[in-house]
Amino acid sequence: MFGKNSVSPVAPPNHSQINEDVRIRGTITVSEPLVMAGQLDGEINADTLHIASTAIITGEVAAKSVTIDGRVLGSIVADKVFLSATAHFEGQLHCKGVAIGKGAYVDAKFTQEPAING
Amino acid sequence: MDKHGNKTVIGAGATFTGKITNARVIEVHGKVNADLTAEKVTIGEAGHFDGAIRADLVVVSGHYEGKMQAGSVWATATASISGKLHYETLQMDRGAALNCHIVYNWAAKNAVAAQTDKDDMDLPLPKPSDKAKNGVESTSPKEGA
Repeated sequence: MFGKNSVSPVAPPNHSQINEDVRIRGTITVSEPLVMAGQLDGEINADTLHIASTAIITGEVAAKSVTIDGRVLGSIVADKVFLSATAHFEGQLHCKGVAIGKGAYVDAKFTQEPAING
Repeated sequence: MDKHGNKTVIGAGATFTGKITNARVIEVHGKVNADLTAEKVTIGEAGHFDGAIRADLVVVSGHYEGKMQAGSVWATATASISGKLHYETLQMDRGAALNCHIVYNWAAKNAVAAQTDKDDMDLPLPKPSDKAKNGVESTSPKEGA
């Protein structure tokens, strides 16, 4: 029973990842890169955040740098935001710099903070 | 890291609070305070998990506190578990620290689990008759060092 489970404890990875089939309600706080591909209802606080195309996020996102390929409904507070062509974003965006790819759906209230020291 | 592996990872610098469902394979190296349903759970050496787990396989190398219902449990040498453990198969490495209520799920595991659940909700200690019937009670917190 145990023999076939070759799950020897591995060295802790330096990033976090939430898979696409995962559903989460709550708060994630990460001081390292986070790849979010699942469904989240709640809050994310991260450094570098990648919201994959399969992700559906409802709630608040705060990060230094956010790349969005999936759906976000809610608010984003970040330094840098990149909404790719597959992104779907509704809500409020507060950031220093934003890039929106061609084809992205954005329905947002946008406030920009002047970039002072990056 | 296998970014495309079908695996969810809560990294060492991550803190999570809430509820996780539908996770197939999840690795916890950070701090998690959550209720979790998954197929396979690994709590890494630096991992801290506080909350209920329902899973087929749980490998604990870190710290766990809560109520676990698992098919197979593997407590490695660095594990420390407190709370409650319902298991069908259990492997414990030398050095693992278990300070918890351990219940083996017999064939009629659902009935037993339901019954002991109810008991334990009300009473911190199960009745001696339950212990004798349902499994082993371990209260040894000593870590083999």
